[in-house]
Amino acid sequence: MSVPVSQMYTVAHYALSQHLRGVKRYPLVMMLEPLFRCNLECAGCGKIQYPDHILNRRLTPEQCLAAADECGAPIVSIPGGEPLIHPEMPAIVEGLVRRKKYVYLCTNAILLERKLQDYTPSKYLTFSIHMDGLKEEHDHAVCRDGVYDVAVKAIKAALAKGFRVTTNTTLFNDAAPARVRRFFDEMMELGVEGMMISPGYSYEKAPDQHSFLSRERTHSLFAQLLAQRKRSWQFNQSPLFLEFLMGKREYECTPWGNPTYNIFGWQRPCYLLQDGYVSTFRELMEETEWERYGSGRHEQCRDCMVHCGYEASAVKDTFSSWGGFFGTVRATLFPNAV
Amino acid sequence: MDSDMSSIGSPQSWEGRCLQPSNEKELHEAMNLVFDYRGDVTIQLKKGEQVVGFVFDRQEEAPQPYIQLFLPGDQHPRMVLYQDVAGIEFSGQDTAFGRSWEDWAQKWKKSESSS
Ligand code: SF4
Ligand code: SF4
Repeated sequence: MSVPVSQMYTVAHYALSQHLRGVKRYPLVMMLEPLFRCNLECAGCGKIQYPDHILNRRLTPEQCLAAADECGAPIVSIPGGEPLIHPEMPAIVEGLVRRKKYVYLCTNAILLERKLQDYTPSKYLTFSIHMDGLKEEHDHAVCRDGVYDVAVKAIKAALAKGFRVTTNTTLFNDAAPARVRRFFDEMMELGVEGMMISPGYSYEKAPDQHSFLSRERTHSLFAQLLAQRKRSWQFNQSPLFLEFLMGKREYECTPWGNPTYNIFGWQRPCYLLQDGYVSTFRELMEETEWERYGSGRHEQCRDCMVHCGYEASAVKDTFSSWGGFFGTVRATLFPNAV
Repeated sequence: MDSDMSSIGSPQSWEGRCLQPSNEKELHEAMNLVFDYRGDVTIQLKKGEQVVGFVFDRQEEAPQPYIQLFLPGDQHPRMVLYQDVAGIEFSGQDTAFGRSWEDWAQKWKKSESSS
């Protein structure tokens, strides 16, 4: 099963109507971080590197829903920390689903099987499982043995209950293409709806500066990963974004495409960089100096090719030009065409 | 107490150090370090008050540059103007220090080779 037609229609309708109304900047996916606390301690993860009193703070359901209303993006992604730790997460998800938002609840899946009873299967709700490779690579990436097996068990349980399930994978410069391709096979055999992949990025305040993939390495890695793509592999992301990762297309970053709201407010300019906060979405959109960011304009954007900056650029391309539209059709139907 | 701004380089961690900026440039440099720090800081205000918390926001291009902190136990953020700052201590634990991917990889390699 791939992305439901209703979701594709909603996104297409939303993007086209923004385009036809001449809106230059619009959000596509809201990144909602209701807490930073996590039950894992992956090395280099900047999201958990805060004092305890910050890790103990959480957004309330009211704050989350008000932010989603103000933002208006059709998709809400809930990364973390670990969202399933939040005691009011079912209420947050329910409120978003009631608003017909397509929710991607990103989880490391440690708690998922236990928490499934708190959620109702819906085309609007997808569990997006953090999986960084085959067992050996994943357990190494999350710094704990056994997490891969727990996640696989939880994926099976969620699928058995009728939930939509995808995986999200961050690839760093030590990724071995053949192993990652085997990982794609393994995930599809489990029956997940699709996979999301992205090159890694280290947060500004995090110290992990050496795992960056330079643009060239990213192109080469993703070209190897996605060459002669198997028909069975489904990617839950824009085919043009995948071509961008492979070096077949050039895009500029669209940092406002995935605006981030968390316990500090609306984060400037994007999910990855912390250049200050504002309290309303309108301030974020109207008062951020967007031209300061993106590759070639900001030191910390230099090698970034992360989905939260560039997937919205690819989606915008699909709906704002015939070239982009036909490119998307071609890349969807014939992903291995040169 | 390390109040020598000329020693600003990149120490492994700022934890435990103090800065007393003596001019505008040093003040801005100090506030950048405070903003990047992943632990609580103690801000000594010119009026004598001390503010202890985590700095999450820095608005250095505002007409009156300021930072915002979350203080333990307080629901709402506290704003501090740059011009009111007398000194800074990196008083809380640096939660990023020693937790990089490389640190982990080194520790892992060591434990692999010793087992
Ligand atoms: S699971 Fe995600 S949020 Fe938690 S420590 Fe790992 S990378 Fe960070
Ligand atoms: S390139 Fe875009 S997404 Fe990447 S860090 Fe810069 S602003 Fe953020």
